[in-house]
Order: sequence, then structure tokens, then C-alpha cells
Amino acid sequence: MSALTEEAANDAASLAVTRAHAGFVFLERGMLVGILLAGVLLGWSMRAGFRQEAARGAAEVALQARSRELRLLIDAVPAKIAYVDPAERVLLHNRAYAEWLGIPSARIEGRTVRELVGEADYAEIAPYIRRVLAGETVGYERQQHLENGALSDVAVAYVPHRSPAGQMLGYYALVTDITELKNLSRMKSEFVSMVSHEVRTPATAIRGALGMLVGGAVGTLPPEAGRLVGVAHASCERLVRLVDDIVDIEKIEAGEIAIALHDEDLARLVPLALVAAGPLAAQRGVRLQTRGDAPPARVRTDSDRAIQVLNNLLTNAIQFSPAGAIVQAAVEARDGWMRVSVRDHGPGVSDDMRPRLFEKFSQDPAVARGSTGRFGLGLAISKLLVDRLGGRIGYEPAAGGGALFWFELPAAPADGASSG
Amino acid sequence: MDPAATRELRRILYVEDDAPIRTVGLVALRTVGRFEVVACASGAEALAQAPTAGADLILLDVMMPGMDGPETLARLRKIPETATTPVVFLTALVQPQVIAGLRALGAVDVLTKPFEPMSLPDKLRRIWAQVPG
Repeated sequence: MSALTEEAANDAASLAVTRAHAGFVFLERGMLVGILLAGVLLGWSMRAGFRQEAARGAAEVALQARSRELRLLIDAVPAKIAYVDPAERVLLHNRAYAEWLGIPSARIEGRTVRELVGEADYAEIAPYIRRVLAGETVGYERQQHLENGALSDVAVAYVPHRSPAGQMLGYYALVTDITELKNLSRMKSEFVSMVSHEVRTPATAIRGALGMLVGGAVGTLPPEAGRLVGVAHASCERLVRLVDDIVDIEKIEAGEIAIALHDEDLARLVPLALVAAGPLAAQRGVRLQTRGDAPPARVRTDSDRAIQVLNNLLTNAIQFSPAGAIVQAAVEARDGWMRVSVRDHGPGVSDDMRPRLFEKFSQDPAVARGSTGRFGLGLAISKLLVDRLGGRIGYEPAAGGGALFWFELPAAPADGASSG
Repeated sequence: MDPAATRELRRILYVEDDAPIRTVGLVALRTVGRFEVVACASGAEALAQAPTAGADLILLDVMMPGMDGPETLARLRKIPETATTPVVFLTALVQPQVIAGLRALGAVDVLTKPFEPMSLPDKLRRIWAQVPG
């Protein structure tokens, strides 16, 4: 096993170093130190080993010693490492790999991945193996059934290994257990959902009560009282929106929202979104318009989500507009994409702000504190949704001042190729 | 024939466990909507009131501790006075499949929370107009 094994181990170590260097997110600090150390020592060990290869005899003994060292070293690495040949046999693995699978080392070497993980898991990972053996570096996450019956969340990296002549020799598998991380992430999501629900319930009652006072359900309030209740009502509306946004962003990030793609005309959605934004615009004294006459803009998308994005852009535009200003929405075709844009006549976005515009709770330092200085979660949610819809979203300063936000969705295939 | 033309929505059995929301709903239904309202804080209370409430329509919260909305509906159907009374669910869950599931239980409509109190009475009157007499 020695030549291939050593070369494999050497590459495995350099792979580990590369992954660590690239900031492989799931590696714990201790693991990182271990891998770096193993990489450095292995590199040294291998070079030293090859230098001695010329002098056979005594060198043979030294090589065996090196082999043992190498085994010790890769066994010391907490990441699960395996080297697999094109026939999908595991030629080399470390202790962490064996322990994780729950299979004794002696029963792993030389067996195929299929034999080791079982038919069900193999069916899931076979496509990734085909890709790496075709020469592609592959990364994915999945749940692995372990020998003891437990389920383990893992992040897996496969890196192809070719001879200098380009022949496929096999691939390295680096498996990191992220079960704990996934559990923490689930706990965080559950906590956020629970808190959001708990906050939303009383906030809803407050908003309802204030809404009736503002709406004159129980008589006319004195002017000063009316103004105070108006402030309380508007603030409560904002609070409820914020909580809704937090719930939304959690769901999107957890992949819990369903996206149902169908053929849709963006030019049909724009008027719907304008109607929905009407009350806020009226409250702010802002006029909503469509720019030009919108030609049909067929896209393949989820209408509800596209409207949600458009609503977010319109809400922002209205909130940043001075009273009496106009907010314009437009639809246009651009090189295989359909673009919806929303233009306002507000202060625009400062250069400092632009790189962080679509992050959560980004706030423009150039704008005074207060409701109009904050983007909250609307743009972050829009970005996540547009990503899920296979589109793109952006900002540019509008000619003549103000902001122009846009998002683009892929145009639907031409008639005949599309399905209803 | 439009049943609303002959039969007006007057009396509502309103079931909501959260006291502040119940108060808001109650004021909306009574003061804004001018309905007669029997308000209950739980499914069990609704079952106790059902025979004598004389409700034209039942407005029923879905998520309640103990007996939830769907279970309350199933039991109301076994009480002769409310066996066929139209039921409207109120729910914070907005997923289409959840709403479809609630309709499948026999509700005439499903309203989502938070409801807008000023427009709640109009919504109920529109639903009522669609109910077969």
C-alpha cells in the first residue's frame, strides 16, 4: 500500500490544509490546529521519506517507520478522512472515519463505499461520487445513518486525485460532523419562532385596540389624544411588521418556505402590488405610478413571493419619500431577464451603505436615526427570496436624485416550451 | 335566491382564549359591527353556551390550549342547536394547506390573524351572504 497510500496521505493533508485555509466553516478550532499540524508534519515526513528512497536497504526500514508515523498523524486528525479509488474502494482512512462509521478499521480497508454505507445511503451519495470521479470538487451536506442506528449531520468534501498525466486515481473524502451545529441552529430557530409568536400575540391585541380608537369606533378623541394614539398605533404596526419579518427570515433561511414556480406576467403583478401599497402611500402623501406602459413580461416564478419582494421595495420607497413625491414602478425586458424597478425621490443611498444594503438591519449612517433611516429586514428578505427564485436584485442611484431598486427574474421560455 | 336578503346576521358565538384579543374582537363585533355577541374563553365554555346562545354564526379560534378549534367544531356538531351553524375559523397560520385543511373540516371560511378589527364585521357579513340558507 505504501506508495499510493503515502501519496494519498500527503495529498489528504494538503487537502485538509487547503480546506482549512479556505475557511471551511464547520471545522472547530482544535480540529483546525490538528489538521494544520498534520499537514506540515506530513509534508516534511514525505519529503524526507522520498529523499531516502534512493538508499534502499536501511531506507526500507525508515520508510516503514514513516508509514507508522503517517498513520499516527492522520489518526490524530479529528476530521474523518478517507481515500477512495475509481472502483470506489476505500484504500486509506483514519481512526476518526472508522469511529464515526462505527465499523472496525480492519473491516473498512478495501471495501467499497456502497458496502460500507449501505444501499439507502449509497443511493444518495452516488451522484456526488460520480461527479468527483469525473474530476469535479464536490461539497454537500447530508444525514448519514451510522452503524449504531443514529443519524449524523455531516458536511462532506470530495476532492479528485489525478496522476500528473491526468489519469483519475481516486478521490479524497473529508467528512465533518455538524450534528451539534445543526442542533444549535434548530434550537435558535425554535427559540426565535417561540419568542416571535409570544411577542406577536400581545402586539396584535394592542394594534387592534389602538386601530379601533384611531378608526373612531368608540367616538372621536380630543386632537392631542388622537395624535398620541396615532403614534402608538403606527409604532405598533411597525413592531408587528418587524416580528413578521423576523419570522419570515427564519423560515426562508431554514428553507421552510415553499416556492411554487409557474408562468407569470410581471406586468400583471405590478398593479396588484401598487394596490397593496396604496394605503401606506396615501398615509405618507406619496403618489404611486407605473412608468411607461408595461409590456407583457413572462417569467417563471412564484407570484406570491415576487409580489412580496415588490411590496418590500415599494414600502421602502414610500418610507424614504418626502410628502408629495412620486414613486414609480416599471417593468422591462433585459437580455433574457425581466426587470422590475422601483424609483423614488428620497435621499438615495450613501456610498458607505451600498455594500451592506441587503444585509439584515443595515442602517445608513448618513441618515438621521428614526424610522426612515433603517432598512430593517425588508431588503434582506427580498434578497433571500430573489435568490430562491433564481433571480438577482440590486440598487443604483436614480438619474436626477433618489434611489432605484430593481430585481430581475429569468424570462420564461418562449411559447410552446413553457408549461402552464 | 340570496339568503342574506331574507336572513340577517345578528348573533355571534365568539371563541378566543387570549383575553386581550378577545376584548378587541368583542368591541369590534359589538361596537363596530352592532352584533349581539356571546364571548367564550375556551372550547369547553363554547360547548356549554352552545345550546342557549342562539348563534347565527360561530367565530372560532384555532389554536387554544386544551380543546383546540377543530376539536371544538367537531363537538359543536354533535349539539343539536349548533349542528349546522356556520363556523368561521380564526387562525395565525397562513399556509394555504393549513387553510385548506380547516375548510375541509366544514368551516364556511377561514380568517387569518391578526384581523383588522374595523373591517372584521364587514368580512363576516360578506361571508354570511355566501352561506346557503
